[in-house]
Amino acid sequence: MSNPQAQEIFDAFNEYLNAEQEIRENIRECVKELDNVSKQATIVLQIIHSDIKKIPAACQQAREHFANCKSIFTKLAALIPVGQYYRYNDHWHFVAQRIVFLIALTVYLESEELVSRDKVAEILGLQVTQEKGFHLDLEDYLLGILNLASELSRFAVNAVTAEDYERPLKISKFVGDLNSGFRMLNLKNDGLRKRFDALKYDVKKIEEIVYDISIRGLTNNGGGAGAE
Amino acid sequence: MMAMEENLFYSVLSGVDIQIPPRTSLYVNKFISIEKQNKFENKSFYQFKFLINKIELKMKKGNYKTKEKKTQGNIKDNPILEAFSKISEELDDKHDRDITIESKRIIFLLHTVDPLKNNKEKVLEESETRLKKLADTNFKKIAEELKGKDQYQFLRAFTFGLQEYIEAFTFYDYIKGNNMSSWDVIQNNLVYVDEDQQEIKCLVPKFEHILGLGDLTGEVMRRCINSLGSGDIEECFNACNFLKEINTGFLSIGHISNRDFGQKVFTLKQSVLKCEMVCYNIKVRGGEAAKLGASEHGLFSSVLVKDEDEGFY
Repeated sequence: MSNPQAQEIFDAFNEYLNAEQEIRENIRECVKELDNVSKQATIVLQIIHSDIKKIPAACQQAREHFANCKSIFTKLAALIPVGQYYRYNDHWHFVAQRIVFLIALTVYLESEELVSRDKVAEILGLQVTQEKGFHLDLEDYLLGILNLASELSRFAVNAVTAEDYERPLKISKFVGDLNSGFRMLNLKNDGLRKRFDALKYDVKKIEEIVYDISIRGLTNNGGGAGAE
Repeated sequence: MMAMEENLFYSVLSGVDIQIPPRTSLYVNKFISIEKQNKFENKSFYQFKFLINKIELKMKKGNYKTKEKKTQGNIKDNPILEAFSKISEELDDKHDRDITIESKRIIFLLHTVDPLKNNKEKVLEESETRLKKLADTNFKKIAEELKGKDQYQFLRAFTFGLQEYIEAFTFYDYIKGNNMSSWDVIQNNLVYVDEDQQEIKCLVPKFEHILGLGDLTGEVMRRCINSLGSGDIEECFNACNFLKEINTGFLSIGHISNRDFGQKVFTLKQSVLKCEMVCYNIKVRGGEAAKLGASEHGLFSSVLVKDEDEGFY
């Protein structure tokens, strides 16, 4: 370029781009690690659909994977310049949702409660508010919870197959409460909204399961013994 | 003469699937020369260019239909076709379709295994011979055809047959004893020795193998539902557990940005859910679902289920 001014402008901009590229490369590395760990936890937790007895052990293993996630998140947080969380957020939001879902599932299996956002953040060593640094985005948390509802609807089916007739009742109440909770939110017309709209199908499926086992008196409080 | 050509071009332009006669390229050339002489005043030049591109594309893709089997006129005039059509036609027209059809038949045959008829050994035996025959004749021809060439270049020409074959092969495995052949086993089936004692093979890309496993799940799901109909409850649970395992496997792969693959994972999920519902219904509805008498525990007191134990596992 013959114009020194132009040269200067574009050189500076190129430097800026290169710096950003480098940050993104490093972030991608971290996200890949997170992805691997979350895959392992996913596989471990799949056992709930085929062998109920192994659930406590699976939860334990999953917890170990979450501890790994925590250290990777610490690494990731160090890469992000202060105040630029949302500039790079699209790299990890998908994997974050998945990890939230896995944690929520584990906590549900252990204690039948909904894990709070604070608790998830604590397990992963993240902040809850933006001001305090690298945080867990609220939307990611909510999407993870919605995925939990779908998994529980499948779990309810398989619990019946494994002759655990109490579990679907509890799941039904839990997912029903989740649904009520989400109804209290004023959601914008975005991905979260769309995902919430699908929740009603999970609710419906679980309600049908409860209906099935109730009319056949398969539950303890049903009192009957079979559908004669 | 002009009118006929004009019609031809316009039907191509409007997307109608017509039979492009052989020697179309001659028309295209004629057209270009006419355009150069500016004798074609009522058509804009761009429209006309677009048309020619479209025809050439159609010819390149090889999805043009010809009345004659031999399209020598085309090939002579078009170097791209010359390079490609001979081999792809050879593979496409004969082997690929043969393999696909035969594989589908084998799958159909395997679906007829039924404990009531006690025909498992016989069906397995027949399937095995037919699968072997496929490998030893059709695939061998492909391997000879592609000897010393980059097989990925012509993968498109035989990929459908290959996928169907893998599906049939793995389904045979499943029916035989609930196992899954590794990639090596499948690939080794398609390795041959040619007349100069050299090893030639028909490549099985690993990706295709996994996609084939994805297709297999559809068949296993059908088997699960058929078994419900014929009262073979044990097989329903068997199939369901098998699918759960494959599903877990696919989950461990994670996200691959390949359209086919995403589609497969989605269908697989649907199959798993269907099978789970079948097993659930057996448990809950017992007799209603399987058209068998349910005992008071919701288990089956049926002569059809031979070794009945708690929960059928």
